[in-house]
Amino acid sequence: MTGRRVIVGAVTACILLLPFFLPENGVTIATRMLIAALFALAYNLLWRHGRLLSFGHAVYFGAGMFAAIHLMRAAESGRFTLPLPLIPLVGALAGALVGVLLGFLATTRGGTYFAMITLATGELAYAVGPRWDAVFGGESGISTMRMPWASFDFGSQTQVYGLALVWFLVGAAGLYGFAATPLGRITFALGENETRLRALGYRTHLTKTALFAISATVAGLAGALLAVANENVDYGIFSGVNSAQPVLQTFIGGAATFLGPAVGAVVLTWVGNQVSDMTRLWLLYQGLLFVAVVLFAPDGLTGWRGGSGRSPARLVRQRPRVAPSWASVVSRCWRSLSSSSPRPRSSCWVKITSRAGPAAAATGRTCICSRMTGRRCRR
Amino acid sequence: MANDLGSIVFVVVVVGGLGSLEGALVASLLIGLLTTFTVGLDWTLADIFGLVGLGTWASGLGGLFTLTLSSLSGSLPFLIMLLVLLIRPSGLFGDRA
Repeated sequence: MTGRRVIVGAVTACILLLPFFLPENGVTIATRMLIAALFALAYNLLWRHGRLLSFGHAVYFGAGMFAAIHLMRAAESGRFTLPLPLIPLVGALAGALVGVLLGFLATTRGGTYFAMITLATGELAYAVGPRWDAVFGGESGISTMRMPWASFDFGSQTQVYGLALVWFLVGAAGLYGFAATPLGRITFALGENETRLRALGYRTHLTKTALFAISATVAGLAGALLAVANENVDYGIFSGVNSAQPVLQTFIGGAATFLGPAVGAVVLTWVGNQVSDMTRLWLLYQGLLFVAVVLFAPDGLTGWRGGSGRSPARLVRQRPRVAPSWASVVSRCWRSLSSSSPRPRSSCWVKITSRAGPAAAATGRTCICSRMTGRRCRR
Repeated sequence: MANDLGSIVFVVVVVGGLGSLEGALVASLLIGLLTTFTVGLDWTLADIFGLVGLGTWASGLGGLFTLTLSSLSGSLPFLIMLLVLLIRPSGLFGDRA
């Protein structure tokens, strides 16, 4: 297993370092790929952890983009200077702010209603965009220049790629590390069964808001990187097409694995770039590819590996088996807490845990974590 | 045409209530009339501030405060859908929560 990890790591490092030796237009495409990959990874955080399907993620991407472009303009005119490499951080902050606000609203509902609220916020942003000139620059958008910092003038695409690579690694490592934190573990449980999590005493709405905000933060980071790379942004970034991109990339690449969406983003960006030279019907071929993947490879392009068992199709197949084991884990915890009490009936385990109070909730937490890591619950 | 109506039809169904025929009829009329008649209204947020004597201050701020309602008529359906989803997710006539 570790040997395979070394190989995967080495191959990834080679791919990430390759663009430094490519011609200018190749580097430009590679930068787009990195940004799309980071955006798709941020998007998949919501789906892979919390089973939340967002259709308005372009809002947070755009928030990061506009925050970055305004800061770059301020630096250009000399009003307020922030080193260019730090500007994506402000984009991430903007994404986080908008994400907390809209995420708090959107996560008051679950399932289809969540998806529809995110869709509505996306459409609202797209409708307000062209009419609020001071912030979004109207129809023509806002343009600026990258200002030099230290010994980097950011005139060549290679330097921009380097900047994007550093922030991509930071963002991806953050998302990967988040899964290992207690909050990250709980958000997995959120996706599996929110009702049970609430019965264990967790404030699921706040947990969902936190998950949403983290996803929006990284989306804002990706948006700021695109603003730095493009030096131009207009309200069109809020359009539904841009919200749909990470969805398609995630499911074509494989939503069950961490790097699946990144693979999907890289493949779609590259194929889109190649095909759009040949035909104007790129969206048709993208749609056909999506249909083909959903029909014949529901685990996505990375699914051949076997996946981690969290793909939608596999989850549906597994459902009857997962539910009883959950109940048995909780009832086992209950028994370990109060060995003198009579054996509880498994049908009323929710009532039992809520009556048992904080002690049971604490045990429930270790049980959820042990379930996530695949270990058995401690007796 | 499909491009213009596709998302509005979706909004109508949500506002009326998923699975409710009467709701779809009422919501389609409501949204249709609302988007049509608001085109003729140039109300702004500054006007509301004007009621309490802060009109000139608000219009001086510009941006969101001087955005007219008529320019937002296209996005009103989505604002209504957002409010309905947050306040009454089952829609006007729907019975599923």
